[in-house]
Amino acid sequence: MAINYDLKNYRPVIGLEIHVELKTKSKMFCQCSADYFGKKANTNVCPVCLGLPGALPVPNKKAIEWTILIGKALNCKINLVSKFDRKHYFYPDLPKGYQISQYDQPFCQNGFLDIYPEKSDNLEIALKERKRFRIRRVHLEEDTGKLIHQGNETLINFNRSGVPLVEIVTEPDFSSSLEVKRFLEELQIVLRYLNVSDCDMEKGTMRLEPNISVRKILNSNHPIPSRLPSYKVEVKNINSFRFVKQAIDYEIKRQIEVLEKGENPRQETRGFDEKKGITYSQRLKEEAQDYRYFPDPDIPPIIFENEDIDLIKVPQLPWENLINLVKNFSLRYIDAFILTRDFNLLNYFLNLTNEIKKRRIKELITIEDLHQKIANLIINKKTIIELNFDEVINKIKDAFIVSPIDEGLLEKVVKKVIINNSKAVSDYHSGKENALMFLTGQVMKETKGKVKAIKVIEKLKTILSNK
Amino acid sequence: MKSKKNKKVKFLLSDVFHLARLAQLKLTDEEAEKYRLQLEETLNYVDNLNELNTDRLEEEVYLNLKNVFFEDGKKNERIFNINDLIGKKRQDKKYFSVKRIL
Amino acid sequence: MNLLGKSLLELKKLVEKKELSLEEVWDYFLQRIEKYNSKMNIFLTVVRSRKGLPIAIKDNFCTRGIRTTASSKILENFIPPYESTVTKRLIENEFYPIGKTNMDAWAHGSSTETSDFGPTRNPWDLSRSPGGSSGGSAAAIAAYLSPAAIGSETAGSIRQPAAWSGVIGLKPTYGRVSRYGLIAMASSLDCPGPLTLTVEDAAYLLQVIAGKDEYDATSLSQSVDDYLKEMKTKKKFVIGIADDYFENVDEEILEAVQKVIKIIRNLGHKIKKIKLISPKYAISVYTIIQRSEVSSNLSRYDGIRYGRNRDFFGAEAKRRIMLGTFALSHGYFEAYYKKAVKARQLIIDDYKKVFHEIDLIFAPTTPVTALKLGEFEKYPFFGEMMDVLNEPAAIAGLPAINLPIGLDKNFMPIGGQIIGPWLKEADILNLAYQIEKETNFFNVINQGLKKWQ
Repeated sequence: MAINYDLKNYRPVIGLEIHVELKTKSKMFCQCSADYFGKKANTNVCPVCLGLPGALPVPNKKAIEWTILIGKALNCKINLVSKFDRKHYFYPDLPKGYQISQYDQPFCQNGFLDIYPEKSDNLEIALKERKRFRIRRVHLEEDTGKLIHQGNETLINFNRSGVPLVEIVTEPDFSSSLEVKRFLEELQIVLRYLNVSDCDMEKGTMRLEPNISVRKILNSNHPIPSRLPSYKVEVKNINSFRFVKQAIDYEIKRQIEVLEKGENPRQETRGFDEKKGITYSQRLKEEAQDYRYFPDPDIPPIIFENEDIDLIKVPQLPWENLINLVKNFSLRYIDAFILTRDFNLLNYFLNLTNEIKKRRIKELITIEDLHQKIANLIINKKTIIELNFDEVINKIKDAFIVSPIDEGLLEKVVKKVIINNSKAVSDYHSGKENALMFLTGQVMKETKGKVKAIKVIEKLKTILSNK
Repeated sequence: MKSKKNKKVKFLLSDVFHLARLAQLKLTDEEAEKYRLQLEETLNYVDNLNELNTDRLEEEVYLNLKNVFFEDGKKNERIFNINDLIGKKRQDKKYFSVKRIL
Repeated sequence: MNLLGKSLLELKKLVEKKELSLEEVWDYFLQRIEKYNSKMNIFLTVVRSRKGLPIAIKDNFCTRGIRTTASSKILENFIPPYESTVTKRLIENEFYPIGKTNMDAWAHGSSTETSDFGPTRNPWDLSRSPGGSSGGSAAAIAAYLSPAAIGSETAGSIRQPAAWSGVIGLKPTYGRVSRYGLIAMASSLDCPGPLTLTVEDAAYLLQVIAGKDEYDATSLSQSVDDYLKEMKTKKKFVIGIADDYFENVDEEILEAVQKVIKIIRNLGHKIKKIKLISPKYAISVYTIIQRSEVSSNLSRYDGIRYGRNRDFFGAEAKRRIMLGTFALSHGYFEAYYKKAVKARQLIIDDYKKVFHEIDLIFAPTTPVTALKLGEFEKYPFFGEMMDVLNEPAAIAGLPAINLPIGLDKNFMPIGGQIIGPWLKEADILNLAYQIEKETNFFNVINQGLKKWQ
């Protein structure tokens, strides 16, 4: 996309609303399964999640604990007194005419998430380059049904209705699509560390709604005005991080073009067309929605003590693990960063190194830079984590240990190779140096590389000359 | 008890239609006018609450209840099929539907 | 055997002693329904269960496989795929529905006239209303088309029709009986409860339906008292009388209430004057909170999954939805909904304070006896005015019972009520039982039954 305006005069202001489905066993307010994938339409429903007359919600305890866990991981203040509210609007996928959500007393408020650089010479520099993005709130609500538009009809499947859905709202702290992308990647990793959601964009268990506006800056030395732009454009239906970046870049360009014309972009909700990579107008927000929130009289308030909150433990998050890997395992920053991107990789690394230590495998422990070597092995060959420890430890031994091979065994192998490769032997005798290299290779292969090449050549020469 | 003398509440027809839109109700002009008067009447009556001093009161605690939950993964004894609701006539139909909305 | 007027427990005993078969019981009541129902429009659906003992169920309790309409056009053909907790517990105790009783549509009203299927007529005088919203349930007992009935009260909907139809109506503490499967009117107020011919029947039925329900987060987990046992211990109480509950009440009703107060005193109880916040504020609190919750609870009726669409709401439902939508809307929420919630707290605190000095309150149930059908159109605030003496206790979630205490000059029943502290149903029933033993409710119930031999 060609940029034909001076970005210096504009500053994008971007905030995010992120919805994440929790992977609890049950739905939020009933005992239907929260895992609705691949089920026949409208078979995963009960009076509660289908909004039948007289049905009542009872909240799922685990979903509340996990929401608080997310809030703690995002450095939020946890509200000890909380409640569920009804948010009213009509839509065919919303069975009760209201969504049970949280309004003025969400479980978690005022947190932040730090983003660290992918590459850095050391931790101190990384810490300096860290960017902090503020979290406004984290609250819990129920998901809606799914709509399928087909012919003249819109079909509704309520299997998803009532699945616990966590909404994370950031402050408008982002000024580029790249920052947004990095933030989302980090958030996804954190949530996967917590093991509370699959965060699968394609399946829709993680959904993003960026809101974008652009502010004009009169001159770049002038302090940025503190007031936010008077409009906000929300973009919906984005199902990958790549598309969120595209959508934001497109919006920034589109809005600047409007501003360049001396006009003000309209406050609206836009959709994203992934084939064309553009956004398109969906509906104008002329009249603010009036959701008529009020406390759900079916659900008693949720009142925690500090001790209850303390019992909800946050595991070590990527950054803490990164520090650990650099400081205690002497890994390079970049490798520690990569390992901590994936909870499974990280865990495998930690368990494996621990296992090696536990088994007191002398020849391994004495290897220089063992941890870095194991890290490289895992990073370069991720399939390794499917092996059990015995297999992988052997692999490591094969890769890194150069141990003296039994003389007799070497001789046996060499003799076998000579017998099986008579052509090469005669080539050697007729003075072709390549033949020796070929035979060496064969021996190395047979001994699985446990003997140094120089030793093999020596042995070959000796035996061949005796013939 | 303190008494605030409030002005009488007044409604415009457009206010009534706005509320009807929010509630997804279709009103005729006559109905709207009837509701306009009834809304005014009711709201002027309930204005007597301003005679009560509630400034120092906390939020409602009438329930005497808190933290009522169920344990995740509890057996589901309420699952039912769409056909239980729609009836035997339309066994073929697996989806609910409306006129296309998008 | 002439079964007319036999209480539910009497029938139960006869059946247990094999002096009466269930077949005979069902034949008897189904024949009566056949003969009289069309005159009074009490049952919207007759259920020939022919199992256990029959009981009439207000048509806002979901009954699996049995049409449940809440007397609304929208749910005219709605057949619930699940059972309400109340009816489930009744069935588990061998009480089966004999029919679904008419009510004000969505329980919006105090006369059963807002029913989309026509009003129910008062068995005492067919030109009059039986009260409401549980008018069908009250009339079913008064005309003895069922030995007992289940109703629901939001603010008066059990006590007021019980008073107007001359039967016993018990509204339990909010949360004592599960609301699961009860089509919601105002969720923070709705209470299922029994309507019966005797205090014992009321105590017994409450025992059956009360208790914690895992499907209703607002149901109370406190253990259920043995009401039948506790009500017979002849306790002595301090009874509070509040002047505000005697204002704008018909002279004949006042006289009947004074007569009962005298009897209560003669039974050895103490009478004490108390001061409560005027019921006129309770009307405002109730109006705002109830309408707000109604507007929200009726949002689910969009005609997509079941029932007809929103165009089929009647005038009363629309009126309530409109006001509730306003009270919750942006800019007015604080001034109306929040203000009402706080005032509600004042009323709760007021009762709490008073119940430090007294055990129970005695008061008239209604300011007038049963009105003629059609009269409610003349009163703008009809429902609220009829329930003015029921609303304070209802918004405080307190238990109360209506007892027949006499007849007026038109030969229409007069009701008096006992209001108790939170979860003190056993005390209410205890005093009610003492009054019953002493007066046989002035023979009111028997005189009513005579009309429907």
